[in-house]
Amino acid sequence: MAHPWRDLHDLASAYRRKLPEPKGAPLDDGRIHEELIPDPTWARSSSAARARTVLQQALVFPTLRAFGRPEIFGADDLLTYPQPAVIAPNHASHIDTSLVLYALPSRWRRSTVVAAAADHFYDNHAIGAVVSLLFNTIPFERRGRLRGLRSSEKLLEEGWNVVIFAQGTRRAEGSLNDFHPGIGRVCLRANVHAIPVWISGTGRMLPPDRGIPRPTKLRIGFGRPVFPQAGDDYASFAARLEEAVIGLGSTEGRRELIGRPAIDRFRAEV
Amino acid sequence: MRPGSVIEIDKRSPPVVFHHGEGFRLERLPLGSRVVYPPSTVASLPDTDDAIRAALLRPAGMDPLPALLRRGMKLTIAFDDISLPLPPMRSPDIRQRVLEIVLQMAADAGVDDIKLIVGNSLHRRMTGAEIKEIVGPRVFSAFWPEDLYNHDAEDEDNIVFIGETDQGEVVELNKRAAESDLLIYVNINLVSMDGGHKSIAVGLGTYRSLRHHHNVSTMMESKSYMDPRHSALHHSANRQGRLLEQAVPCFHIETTLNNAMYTPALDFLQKPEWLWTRRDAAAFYAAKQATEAAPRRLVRKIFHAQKAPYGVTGVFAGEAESVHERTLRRLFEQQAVRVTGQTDVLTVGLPYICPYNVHSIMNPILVMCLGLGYLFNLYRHKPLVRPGGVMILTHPVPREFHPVHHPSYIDFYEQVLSVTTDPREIEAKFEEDFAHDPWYRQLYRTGNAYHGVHPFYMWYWGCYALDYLGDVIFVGAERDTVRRMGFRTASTLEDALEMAETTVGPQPTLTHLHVPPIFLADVE
Repeated sequence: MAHPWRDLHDLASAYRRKLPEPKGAPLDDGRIHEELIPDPTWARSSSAARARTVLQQALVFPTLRAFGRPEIFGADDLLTYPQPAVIAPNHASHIDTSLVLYALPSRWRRSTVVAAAADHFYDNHAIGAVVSLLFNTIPFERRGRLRGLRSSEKLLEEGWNVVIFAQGTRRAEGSLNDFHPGIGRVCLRANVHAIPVWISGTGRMLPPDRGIPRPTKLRIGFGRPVFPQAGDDYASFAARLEEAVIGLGSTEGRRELIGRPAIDRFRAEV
Repeated sequence: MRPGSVIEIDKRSPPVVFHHGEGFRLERLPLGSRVVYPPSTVASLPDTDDAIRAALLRPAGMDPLPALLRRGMKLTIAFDDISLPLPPMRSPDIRQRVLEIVLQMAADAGVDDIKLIVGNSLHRRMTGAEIKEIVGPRVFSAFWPEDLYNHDAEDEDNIVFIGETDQGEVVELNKRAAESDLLIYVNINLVSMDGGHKSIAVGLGTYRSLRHHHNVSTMMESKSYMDPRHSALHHSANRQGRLLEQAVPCFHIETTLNNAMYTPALDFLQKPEWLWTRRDAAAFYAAKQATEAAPRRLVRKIFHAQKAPYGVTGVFAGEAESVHERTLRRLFEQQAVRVTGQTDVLTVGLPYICPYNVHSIMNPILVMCLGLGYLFNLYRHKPLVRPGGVMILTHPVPREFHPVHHPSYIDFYEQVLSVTTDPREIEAKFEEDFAHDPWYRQLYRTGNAYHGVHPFYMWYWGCYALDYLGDVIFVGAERDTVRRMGFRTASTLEDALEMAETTVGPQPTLTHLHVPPIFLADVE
């Protein structure tokens, strides 16, 4: 466990340090990026975790409940699945991160980091620090750079679950484009399974072109884990995972029963 | 079926097994001592699902369940929490089977406003995984968490005042249950104190309603609380139950189990020592050595992972009192044992589990409650031990508490028992503070902690025995812990018997209560 003073020091330095602009940085050399954007290790310390729990419970989750009254499916099953795992939701809005964390059982939430777009969240060091503190994020470089993938693999090896939005960016609600094969690389190299997650409602609550959220019913469902199989390559694993996410969102699955009385789900679960 | 029996120890008698917490002791009792053994296991019903359907379609004193269900109604189903049965039942739990059939009937009738509530009273909130084990995956995945949740006795917004009985007992109830068009309660009647009106009045009640019977005066008048006809606790709960049933239509479903509580590995505990085969003896020896050699935490984990292969012996449904009468009759077929005369010294081995430490630690206060509360009270008519007699218990009584489940117990042990062990004084001086303590309240509501007042109830549970007995001696226990509770320790049973002689005189008569499996002594 990190010493509280060291945590405080790291926390303070996160604000003090001038974080460089990652845009236009070299594309393929992870080491350079590590030097450019420091991994906010302080955010994974026990003190930051305690602060995060307080902030989430006092601020983030009540707001989410007030605006979205989220309905959660399948989260209890997570308790029976091994950790660590990659958590792979579809992505329609910035709300998704809070919703996923909200829906995770606390045993999972405590050991979960979120891959956040380095070019979006970490180009301003204050925003980067706040986001890291609130959601335990790590900077994840996009557009073919490898550092985000490498640090995800490393964190998985250390026992953390990693939330990766494999679509790469927010997409209009209901549309899924091909999952990036990077998620396959992370799962195969770290030899962990991925949990498909279907989110709906966040795109209407806070679409990419809006600044203020509007109250919308939110729903989130967790599916059965997708395990790496012999013969999988990065792309085929990513495709299987995407299928699982689509399956969760499809009208054939239990999702059609979202919003219906529990007794209908009971009847459907024979 | 072999009925329960009272065996006299003679020269040829084998040594007797005593439970000793998460271990065992093998003791040679003095010649002439009596050992009371439970009856053998009653055969279970040939088809449980058929029996459930039959009970629901032909309930006692009420219309068939399908006739009570209609589209647009508000239906609430509450059920017993993790404290029953002990040990937990091997899947499928009887509550799961009942719930699935009741819900199917509700679905067929077009009922869609249904809530399932754990009747956990002031017990700890159950975790999702624990609830799933009770209700089964089908019910769980359909209803959890919005429509399947723990009762919260401290949620002022969701508690309603029903009224007061003619004796001034306040009746409060879970709001959702109180506002329902029909409230169904599914119970497991493991012992005769369970069930009846107590299920709803206590299971979905609050501190304000429970305090009318969970107190020293009532417990002193409950002789015993395993005999509902002579139990002031039950009389009080019955008055509350009758009042609340005027406000909410209630449909009770009660179930009874046989006493098959051990897995094959521990099957030897199911039968008397004199019926043991060599294999049983070898299994016992291996188990005893293993429990002594292995780390305590591992042993505890193994014990708590045991799931009992209970068989269902009865399902009864309908109006509370007629149902409960039938339930008790069936229960006594399995549990009643006739014993003639009282004894000077009563010995009993305390096992690793009681209703309040499932997946948890049996702390010293729970040990007291199990020994002087539950096991002392396993009688009808009069106690097995004579007034002023001695009770000798075997348990290590470690000073060990589960910080998440039993936070108020720790303070009760440190702050209350260090001042006094007198139940009346404890009740007068300390109960209110603990019951209203905001921190315990918070832990009860949001964590998995027993209510702040719960350790007091445990102490009251044993108050009649405390008053009645001349001495209580623990064998093989931690001296300081036992002394804190006001009892004495001995390292061996022989020493304990010698100590007992100073209280009851020389050459005392001795009776050993060979539990579990649980039974009820009808003392004549």
